[in-house]
Amino acid sequence: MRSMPPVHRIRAAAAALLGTWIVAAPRLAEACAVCSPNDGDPAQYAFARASIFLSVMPLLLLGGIGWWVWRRARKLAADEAAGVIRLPGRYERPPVPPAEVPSPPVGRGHAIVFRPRQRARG
Amino acid sequence: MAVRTAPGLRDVSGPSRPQLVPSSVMAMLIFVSTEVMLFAGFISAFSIMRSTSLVWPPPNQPRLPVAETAFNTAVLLASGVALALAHQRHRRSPRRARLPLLAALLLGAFFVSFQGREWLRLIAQGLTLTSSALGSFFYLIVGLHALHAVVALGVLFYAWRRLERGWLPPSVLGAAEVFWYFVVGIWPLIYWRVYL
Repeated sequence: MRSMPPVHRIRAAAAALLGTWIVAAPRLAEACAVCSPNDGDPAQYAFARASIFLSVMPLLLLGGIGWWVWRRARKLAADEAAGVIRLPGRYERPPVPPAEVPSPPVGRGHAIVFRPRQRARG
Repeated sequence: MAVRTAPGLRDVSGPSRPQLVPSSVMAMLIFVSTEVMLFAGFISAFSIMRSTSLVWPPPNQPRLPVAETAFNTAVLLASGVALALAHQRHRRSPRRARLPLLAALLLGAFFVSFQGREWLRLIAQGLTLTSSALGSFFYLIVGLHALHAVVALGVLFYAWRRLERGWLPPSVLGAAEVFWYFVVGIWPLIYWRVYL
């Protein structure tokens, strides 16, 4: 425990406290209106089912969209690697012109000399 | 092997990032997600109301046409299959997608018409929006689905018209597909929870 950084120590303590609280206070969980269907009451079961359904549905939707996008990205990358397709914006980019190297000033006329103005002494 | 541009992606010159999912398809996915949650809320409310009722279905109310709607469900699923076929053909040759797209459109129109006919029968038998909780939830959920089906049919018709005129971008077809698959996919759930 001594070798743990302070942040980890706080996290571990918080996790232990939360675990103790959950185990020691099951009545709080039972107080939830939809968590403990009692004595086969169909209304309680319906509430529980609806709660689970409505909780899981957004996760399924987002997960489904994410999975589809990931699959499409993998397929496109594989197709491009196989030379079947070409992704836009990768081959059509115009070639970058070479950077211009500044030429050194030639002769007196090109040299600009900066002279700080001298303060007039009163 | 001929190199072609990825379907559904913009082929532009100059520096640009590759578009993984067409914007129209992503927008339709977000819209459909919100609609799924709307239906999930209504179906959950219906399930709770059904579970809390002492007698179900309510007495003195007509029974819902289970067998006829099962047939209509099959028609709607066939419409989804036709649209999937149109998608496959459109990837190879857009002109060849015309027939399956038209078939999907007609099957969907048949579904909506059949539902309308069933509604007229149920109203004549006494099941109305105010007759019972069954009637109010039935017309709310099934009517909302019918509204979505009509709008999705409009989108499919727009896609088919563009294909007839010569060019239908894959992004437009993709957006129409997402909408129609939503209409097709949510219906079996509605049928299971409301009719059975």
